[in-house]
Amino acid sequence: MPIERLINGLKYTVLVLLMTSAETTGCEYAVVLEKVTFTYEGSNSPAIHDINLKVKYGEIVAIMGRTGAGKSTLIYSIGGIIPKYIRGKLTGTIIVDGLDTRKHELYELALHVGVIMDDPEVHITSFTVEEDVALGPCNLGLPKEEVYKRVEFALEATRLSKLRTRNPYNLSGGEKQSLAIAGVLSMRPKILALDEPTSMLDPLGRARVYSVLKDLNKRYGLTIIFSCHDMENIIGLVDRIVIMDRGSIVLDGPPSYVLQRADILEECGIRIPEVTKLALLLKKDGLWKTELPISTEDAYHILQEIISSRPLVRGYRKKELKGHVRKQIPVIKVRKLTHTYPNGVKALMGIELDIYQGEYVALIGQNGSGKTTLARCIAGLLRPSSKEAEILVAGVDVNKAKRTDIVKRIGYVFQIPEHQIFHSTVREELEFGPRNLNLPEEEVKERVDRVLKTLDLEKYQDEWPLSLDRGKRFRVALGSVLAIDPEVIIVDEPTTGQDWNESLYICNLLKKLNEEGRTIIIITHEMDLVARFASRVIVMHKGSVLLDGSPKYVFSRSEILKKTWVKPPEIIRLILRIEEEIGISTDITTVEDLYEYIVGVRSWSS
Amino acid sequence: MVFIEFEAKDTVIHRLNPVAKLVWFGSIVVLLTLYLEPQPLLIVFLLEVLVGTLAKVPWRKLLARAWWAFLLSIFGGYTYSIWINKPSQFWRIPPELGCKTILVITPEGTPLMGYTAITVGGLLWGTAMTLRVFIGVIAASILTFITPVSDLAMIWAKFLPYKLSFICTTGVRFYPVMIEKIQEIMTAAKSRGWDMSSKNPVKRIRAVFPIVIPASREAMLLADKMALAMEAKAFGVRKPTVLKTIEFTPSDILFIVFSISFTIMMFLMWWFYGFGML
Repeated sequence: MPIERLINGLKYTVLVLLMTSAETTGCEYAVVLEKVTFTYEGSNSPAIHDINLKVKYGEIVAIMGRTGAGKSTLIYSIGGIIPKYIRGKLTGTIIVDGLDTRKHELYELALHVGVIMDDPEVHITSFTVEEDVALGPCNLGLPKEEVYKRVEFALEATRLSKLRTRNPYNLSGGEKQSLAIAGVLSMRPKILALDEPTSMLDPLGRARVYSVLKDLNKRYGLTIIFSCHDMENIIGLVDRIVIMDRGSIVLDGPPSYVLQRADILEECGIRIPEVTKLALLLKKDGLWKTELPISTEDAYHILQEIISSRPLVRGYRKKELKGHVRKQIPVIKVRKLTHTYPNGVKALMGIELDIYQGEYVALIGQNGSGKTTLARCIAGLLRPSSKEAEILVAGVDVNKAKRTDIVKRIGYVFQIPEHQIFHSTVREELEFGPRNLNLPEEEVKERVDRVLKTLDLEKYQDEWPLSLDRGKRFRVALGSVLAIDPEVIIVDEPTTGQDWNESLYICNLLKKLNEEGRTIIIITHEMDLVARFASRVIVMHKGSVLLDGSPKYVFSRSEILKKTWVKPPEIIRLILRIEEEIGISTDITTVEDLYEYIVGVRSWSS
Repeated sequence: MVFIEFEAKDTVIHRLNPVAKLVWFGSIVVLLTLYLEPQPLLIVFLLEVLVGTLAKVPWRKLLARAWWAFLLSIFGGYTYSIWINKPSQFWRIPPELGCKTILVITPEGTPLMGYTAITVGGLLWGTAMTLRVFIGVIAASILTFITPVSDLAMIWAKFLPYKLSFICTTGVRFYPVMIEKIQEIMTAAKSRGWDMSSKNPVKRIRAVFPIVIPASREAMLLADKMALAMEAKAFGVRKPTVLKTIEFTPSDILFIVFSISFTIMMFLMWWFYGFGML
């Protein structure tokens, strides 16, 4: 239709004019928020409250805070999704690249600010990487040559050029998130607003995404604002960190400044780098006198001085750290376990493993290394491919046993708790498992009451599980397994998308269950938590066990760990350096332990 | 999945445009619906093997995927063939040959079953039915192996309005994602002792809830977030740029002409001489 074309042409001209006008405003700020308050439709209290924020062109800003602090609301407000798509009451002014977000349509704003959500899957709709990147420019009706030019730019900038013909479905997590970025980048925005872009990724995926963001900023001058939880990985990347708590900004500045306010960070439930935390503890005792360090290197030399001035026991012969030592009768016995998926991917190759009663085992490794497959085979949720494979859990052969016999012995908590939740109240949800075992009603009630108490869910028992926050939803999923009372509990990536406090809460809860005698197997990418809680670490790589031993033993094998992209926690690296220096070997794996050794509560010779 | 996935290979068949591939597949489907006799089906099968070989189809993988479909067709085809024993069921072969009984299974007047027997005509019919499914599955597998879904989407994008074709594309794109999610939900329910094997129909229906509720929630969330992502990509704002157009090379035209003429020829033989009828 010629008239339609004419109108479209006019619209595009107006868009270009708008972009030009924004460019010529000469404003030094890419994003300006003044007294912004937003209350979601149906809610009584605001999610963000009286926010004042200015971000300069070319800055990288990280928004941090506990779950529910208002990070996503802030990101969506900057992207115009609030209030254009997500309804509610918005007051104050939001100017993005010179545009008032309230006065423009979402697609107009998309030319200035690209919004990326935590789950990359929702951004990808095409069958090839290239087509997916082209979708935005094609929707704008741009000439073919311009579309191709933009696709080339976006693919190059996100290092996806070699994957252009691949089906996005088969990409890794990090590549998918890069593709989501490329998809909005082809709209040529000057600002990227990303909501927890790495929360669903493994260490390799996170590294890829952060390095892509750094590149986009350095090479193309993009302004980047993103929310996240992992302070340690972003220190070298960002210009500024904005700390949010209960909908307000409580701290804003460069990392070196923000980290000096470690007390505020801890109050806001933010995980501070472990070396900073150690220095903070020592500072309280007057032992640390300078600025708080932000890296191991910063901390090492000062610690060296502190340690040399303390009356430490020296000259102990360094003990050789050993791998896992066999003991007693295993509660889980795995022999000759192989598993090949229907698409031909060999996920496990001849696993031989014993796990003992009361162990707290961390299964770590890259995505695709076989962790989940191994755990699911142990739980009888996947069948081994080899006939000679043997899996015994508490004396029961899971390949032959009935499902009810397996679930009585081993429980599995899934990564996404919502997959396990479908009842209308927490209590009903917890009753589901015991009822499947045909237990008498009194026993079901007794078990559910006990679990509600253990998990501190009593006051939520009549609430709809999905209305609870993510941390509590996880507790409901764990409770639904716990009500079956299994000897072994496998927990698959329980800390994904959780803030530090909630992650600690979950791990402490598992520790408590472990101390009651249950064997815990946790699959995780959070090495700090592994060092702090696990008694044994199993590193998976390409379907085999690469390393098996105590956290200290495993994390001291940094050269081997490099294969799997597993980075030992900062504190362990620091401890190993100190031990090397003073020639001793200890069982220290946490900040608190190291602090106690330094101040002399514990002896180095233990 | 029964069918094998697309693999990008540089073969003469892969290089054909999607219309040519679809015409070839359509020809096979037409011929399969015509023939009730094994001999012409074998000709179609040989033609199919030729195309598959030129496309470097991994036959072993294909058979590994589709073996149960073949077993089902053998079982279904030969089971039903015991009712093919009446002279009126044969058009081309002499009725006395078609009805020649090898083994009587149930005599005349048997309640529900009636007269059933293994006959020569029945065996031919059963073989033809088995071959039909066998050839059909292989043809569909070859099509999915040589044609990326994006190419098929190009065809429907040509004939359907943009928004509708986008919905179709997205539906196909998210099919494996949703299947994966549903499987994950089923595994999660299994880990709590969920079982659907009860014989009680009420219990069976109730047993579906642990799957349906989280799966519906996932689907709705996915759709909502995707709608948001699409809005931010200016979806539906104006007439989109079409990047790929279907172009015809001489080999495409040759392949189409061959497929259509072969089908017409076989159709005429069927129409005028009863070729392929029982």
